[in-house]
Amino acid sequence: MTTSNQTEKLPGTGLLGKLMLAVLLTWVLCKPGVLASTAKKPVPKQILVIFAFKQALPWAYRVEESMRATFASESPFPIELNVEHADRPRHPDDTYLRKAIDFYRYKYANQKIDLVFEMGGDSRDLLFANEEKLFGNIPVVLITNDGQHLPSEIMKPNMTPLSWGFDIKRTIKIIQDVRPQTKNLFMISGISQIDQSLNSLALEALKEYGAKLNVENLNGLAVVNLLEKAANLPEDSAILYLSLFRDASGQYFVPREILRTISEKANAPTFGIGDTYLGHGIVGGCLLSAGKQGKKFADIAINLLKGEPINAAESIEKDNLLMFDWRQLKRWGIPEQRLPKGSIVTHREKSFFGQHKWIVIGIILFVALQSGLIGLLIRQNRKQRVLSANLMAAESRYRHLLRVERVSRLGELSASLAHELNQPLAAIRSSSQAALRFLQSDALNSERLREILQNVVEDSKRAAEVVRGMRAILKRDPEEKAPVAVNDVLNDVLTIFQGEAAARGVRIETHSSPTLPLVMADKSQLQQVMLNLIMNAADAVSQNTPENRKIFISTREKGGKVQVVVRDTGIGIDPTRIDKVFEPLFTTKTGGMGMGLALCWNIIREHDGRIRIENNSGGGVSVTFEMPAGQDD
Amino acid sequence: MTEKPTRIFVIDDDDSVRRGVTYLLQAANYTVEAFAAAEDFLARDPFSGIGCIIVDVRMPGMSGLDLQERLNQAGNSLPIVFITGHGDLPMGVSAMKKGAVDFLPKPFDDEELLAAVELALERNKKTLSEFEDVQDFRDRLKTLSPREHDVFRLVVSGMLNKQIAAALDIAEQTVKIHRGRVMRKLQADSLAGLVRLAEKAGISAPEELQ
Repeated sequence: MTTSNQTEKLPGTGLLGKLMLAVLLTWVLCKPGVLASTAKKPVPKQILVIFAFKQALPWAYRVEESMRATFASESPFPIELNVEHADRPRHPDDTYLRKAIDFYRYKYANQKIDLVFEMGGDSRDLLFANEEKLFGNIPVVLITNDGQHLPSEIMKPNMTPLSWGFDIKRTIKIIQDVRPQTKNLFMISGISQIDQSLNSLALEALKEYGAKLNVENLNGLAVVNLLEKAANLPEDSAILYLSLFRDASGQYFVPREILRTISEKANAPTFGIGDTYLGHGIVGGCLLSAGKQGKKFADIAINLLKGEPINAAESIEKDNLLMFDWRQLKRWGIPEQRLPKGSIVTHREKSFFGQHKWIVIGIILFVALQSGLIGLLIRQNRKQRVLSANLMAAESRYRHLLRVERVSRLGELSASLAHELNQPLAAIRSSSQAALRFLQSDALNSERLREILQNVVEDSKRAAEVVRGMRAILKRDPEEKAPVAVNDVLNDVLTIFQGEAAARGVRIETHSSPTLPLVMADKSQLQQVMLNLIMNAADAVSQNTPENRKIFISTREKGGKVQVVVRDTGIGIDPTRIDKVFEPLFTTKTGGMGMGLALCWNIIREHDGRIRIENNSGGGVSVTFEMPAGQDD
Repeated sequence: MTEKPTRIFVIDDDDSVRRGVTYLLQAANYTVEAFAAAEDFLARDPFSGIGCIIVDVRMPGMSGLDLQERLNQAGNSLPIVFITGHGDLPMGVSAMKKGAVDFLPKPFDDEELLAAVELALERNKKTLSEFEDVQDFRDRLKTLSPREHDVFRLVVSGMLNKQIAAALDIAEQTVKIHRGRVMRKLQADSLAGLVRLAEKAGISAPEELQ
């Protein structure tokens, strides 16, 4: 037989392996920790757990999980846990049992099992009757609902009977405590052996407790009927759900899953006995913790393997927890203050905020941030608007100031402008009256008449020119910048100023470059600059002797710029103050506002140009301004 | 006397005005001489005929008022009509005080200007004729003997015959004879006429007798 061969060989290989390992380790490793743990590593103890339940039952799963965790953390020696699920509720027949036993025997024949746990509901349901066949004298721990009542004749010396720690009595008390109005108690269980064992456990508990309740056992119903019944329970009822592996119609269930359906349909609160039910439809109760049971069994296993006796008198209370489902409490209107001391309320439905704390915080933060940003933007926008309004106001005030200055300049010239206008008007009147007289006296000479009329036309043009110049200066609206011939502007200004110049005995000499490029400019502003400069120059030379009242104006192109120089022959400006002349309110004249040059400076700056002033070496000052040539700019 | 030529001098730096005024005067049958500057006019040979000056007050270089000053100093009797582009009242008053015929603000009507010119010519004529009278009187004065001259000067100073006789230490009768001759030689028909003529000629009583 292969198996026996293998078992014969095993010790040899084990010895050899150990030797080799020891040699290797002493030779290679120097870390004492590693050395110790590896060297001592014994063959793991084998524990076989046979659940009567089917695989993946929440209860069994939780127990197994807890055992593994306990072994891993608390066992001084390695333990290998082998788990089988006999699935007895579905296969209660003996044939199955026999075959299962054969299967396990075959499966674990080569494995030295050190300890067996059998966990189920009813002792009759377990495999212990065939224990000898299965594992011979291996210690066996039997965990049932009726462990204490196992018949002594079937108990072998290697067997230790234990009970699940359900505290149904306490749950019944809790039902009455939290729902004092409860008069009827409906117990739900099935017809499988586990169901039945729990049912009898419950009945026993009820009897012991002596509750004044009308108890109805609903274990004989098919689920369809059960659901209908549960939905139509009389007032002041409560349900005690034990387990339902198999209903009266022979249908199989996972107790926890059918619990959910029942609870949903029921018109009375459902209480339970195990913590795996919590959150699946029960209000709560004194719930046996699968995890704690698992740990307890694991501790027992460790003790047994160590050869220590089992402390059989362990209190079952330790493994039961007073637990409640908050949602169910709400559903049935059970106030939390009625719950027994030390109760744990789970599944507390958090408020919207609690449930979505981070999302809510995130959204709030986002919204706050967004609002802040929006607020900031609005404020910024408002500021901007105020600023731009101020700017516009300042701009319009500046335009107004420019115009006021122009008008006042023109006002200064009004006398000479009137003169300028009167000259051609006088000539026109005289000439035309002369013509009339010639006609009257019959001394009609067509040649002379033509000459006179031509002069009249010329004079009227001249008058119009003066008016045009004045209007340009007085123009209210700011003009768009347009290509402008600087010489034309200069001539316009001279037209306006020549009367004044004559009156003051000032002579103006101009040297205009005939090939001057155009500049992009607001014509009336440029006129204003020139008029200012010329009038300043005229003021500067007013104290000179009549023959020395001279102003020189020149225009020329220089390095892509149009340059205009207005030079006077006055007394010049105090060199310590000459750099202040473009500042507003600076004036050297007794009646001056001190705005003229400041505005000139602004205007030229607006035209991307530059303006400067300097004392001439031969006396007087020269004001030079230049503007970029070209129409495209 | 009236056969002397008549001439209007127009002085204005403004070509248009100068031309217009010239046309107007020509249309009124005046002979016109036009100048762009007062200096140009002064450079011309002195004019001895009947005439007047039309001049712009404000001109570069010598102004109309400057010209008036110069002519007055030189004893030139040509009357002046001022024309001006801006009615400057103080300037006009000053010009009128100094003998200007008129002060016309531009633009002016032909009638105004021609009336002013007429007036100026009238005044010039009168001035000239008075000048001639004085000239004649001076010529006649030269025909007096020294004694007659003495008597004449004392007569115009307002002395009586008796006083003159005492002053000259001659007989009163002799004074009467001299006085009669003086009156005849100077073509004076009365004492008042004689005094007026003497005043015009700028002759006053001898200082030692005053």
